[in-house]
Amino acid sequence: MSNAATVVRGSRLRAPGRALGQYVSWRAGRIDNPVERLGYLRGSAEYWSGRPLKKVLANARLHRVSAFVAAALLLPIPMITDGAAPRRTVAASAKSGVFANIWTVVNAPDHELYSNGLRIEKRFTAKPAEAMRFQRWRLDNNAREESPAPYGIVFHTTESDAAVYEEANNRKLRRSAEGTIGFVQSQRAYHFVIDKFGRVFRTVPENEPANHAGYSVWADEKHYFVNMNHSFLGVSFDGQTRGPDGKPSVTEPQITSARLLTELLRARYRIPAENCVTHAQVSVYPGNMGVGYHTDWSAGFPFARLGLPVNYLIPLPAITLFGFGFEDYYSNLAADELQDGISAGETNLRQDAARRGVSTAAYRRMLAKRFREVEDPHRYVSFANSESRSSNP
Amino acid sequence: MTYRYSDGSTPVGLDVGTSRIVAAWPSETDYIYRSELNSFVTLPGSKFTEGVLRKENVPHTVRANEILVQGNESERFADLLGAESRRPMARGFLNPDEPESMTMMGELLRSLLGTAKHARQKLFFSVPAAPAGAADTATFHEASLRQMLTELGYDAKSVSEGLAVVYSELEGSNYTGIGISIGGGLCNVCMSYLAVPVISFSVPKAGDYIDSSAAAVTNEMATRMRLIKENSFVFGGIQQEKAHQVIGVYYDDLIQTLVGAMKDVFTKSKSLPRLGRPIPMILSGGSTMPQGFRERFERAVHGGDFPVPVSEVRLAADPLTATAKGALIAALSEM
Repeated sequence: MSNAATVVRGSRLRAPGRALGQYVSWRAGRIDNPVERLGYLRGSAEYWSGRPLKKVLANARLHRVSAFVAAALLLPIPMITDGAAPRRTVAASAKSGVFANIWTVVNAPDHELYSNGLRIEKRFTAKPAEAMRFQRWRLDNNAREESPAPYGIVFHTTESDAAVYEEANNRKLRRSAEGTIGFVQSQRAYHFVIDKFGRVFRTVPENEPANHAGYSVWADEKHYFVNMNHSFLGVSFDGQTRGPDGKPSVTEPQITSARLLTELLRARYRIPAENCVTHAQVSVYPGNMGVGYHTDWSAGFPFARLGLPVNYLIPLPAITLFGFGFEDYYSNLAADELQDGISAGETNLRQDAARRGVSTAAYRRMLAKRFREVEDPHRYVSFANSESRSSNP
Repeated sequence: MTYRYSDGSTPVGLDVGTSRIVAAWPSETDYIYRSELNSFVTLPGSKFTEGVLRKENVPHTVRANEILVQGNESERFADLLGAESRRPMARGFLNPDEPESMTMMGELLRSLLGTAKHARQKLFFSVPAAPAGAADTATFHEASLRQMLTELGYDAKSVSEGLAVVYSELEGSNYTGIGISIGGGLCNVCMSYLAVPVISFSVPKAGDYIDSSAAAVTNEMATRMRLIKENSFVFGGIQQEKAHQVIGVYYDDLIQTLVGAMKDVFTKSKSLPRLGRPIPMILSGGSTMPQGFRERFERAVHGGDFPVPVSEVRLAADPLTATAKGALIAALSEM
């Protein structure tokens, strides 16, 4: 008889592939309670079935995927908040404590020169304002801590539409850059801007706040940062995340200068590598509890060339800590590397919900409530004027 | 292990089988089960009979000129009256030939479960995979049960019967393996990979097929064949009684049919996951109870070119409650 009397019924869930299956199986194996384990597996299956991993992986380079799997398998680092906190996987931590030895060679009125070859132009630096204390909050008890030194760097693009990078456009490029930088200075939008020729302009002194991050969330191993103008420095590339060819319109000199600047800032302020992130990774919009209000550097940020680990792989803290979602905003960005962090964040969120024996939706609501408790509206301040949002892209 | 809502109620797992309906609830340390025979019998209506039934707490439904006794007591009354009990379900689904199937199913569920304590009380109920040519029946069956349970106030969701067996027994392999439920009306098979049902199908041969076929050959009532099968039949050796011989023949036919179907489906499937290691196979359901069944089934699996590497063939810890337990675990996982 057999086939004539049987019918195979399809499932709306898709079984994970072998590599992902090994990862999911490994994570599931760490959950002792069979009910919680089943909750985790069912949640994972629904997640991977709903957001086709295939689409993301098809657009990801093989080494990134391998790195993601390896990082996920080898480097689970717990994050503690209220005793019921999400965990994360920090691929970046390996390089966190390595800082270069850099000293000042020249400190002239119009520029600074450093021993690693970095030159910082000071012509466009805004007039000194009140210095600030950078802020962060402890994950274990929500206590606020302050420091005169910034805790991280957020990378941006100005999204300005400059002329094509070629010799014939020298004058146009310079004029465009200086116009952009002048505007940035007036708005106190970033601490540094790097133009197409690789020139680094300080627009806001590092000990003063810049209006660059807006509503934003990030976290490292022990601390979280909310509305990060008061926490991180802002460094912007003069260019676009998606140029005419769909790729970031940044130049080789810009990347070289960005590497030197990052090296200097990390060494000077002891900034861990996992706190060097892009604006798209940290930007949120509390109005709809969505990540990715700003999308600059949602893809293509040259982490490796800046001497950083690929931080796109870090589960987004906005999701794992505060239950932000992403469906509305990133449906058109499925191929971007940011999806790695979103996917990992969602997986962690579902796993944590399963571990607590609550549905993902309920757990997300619980985290959102926590966000509303910690998100003091006074933490978000625009420094150029009294607007409540930044003007950067 | 405490899985309770704030009002003290708990999620529910429900196995809606052709022969029995089994419900499961979590307790502080384990699970609690209650079951009802999925059958009823009609008695002539009278005030006296009705009074006796009420006094004895026998679940029943009064009609204009008849009384319907449902659940566990129906078998006793059927014996007393020398009549075949009536079945709300046949071959795994709501019985299309039984005009009272929906009504009596609703009554059985009400007497077994009661009404929900609140609207968010989760209940997972088992549904069979569809046999060929009966896909619409499966959809109707599932929708009808969901409606009945929703009317009782539950947040009802379905789970494939074979998958529920996996959820019940295979936590040790991260819910990867083959769950088989051999009940009264159908054999349900589900291959699961990390709790995801990869392949589900059913074979319309099970306990009832054995009973009715053996009854036809021996000229006995199917109910009597079922009692013999459940109470005294064992595999192996020389069968002295004709009824045992006949039951053995049809059991073997059932096993060969089921294993053949699995070979066929697994071989032709394009969605089989790449398994790194052999996977376990779990047998559950009332028809797996006779002594020697597991060994006979295992021989059939290992006797040919079974397309999936199988590490072991074992019986569920309690074959009669495994599906309900699996449905409950699914409900708890979504609590």
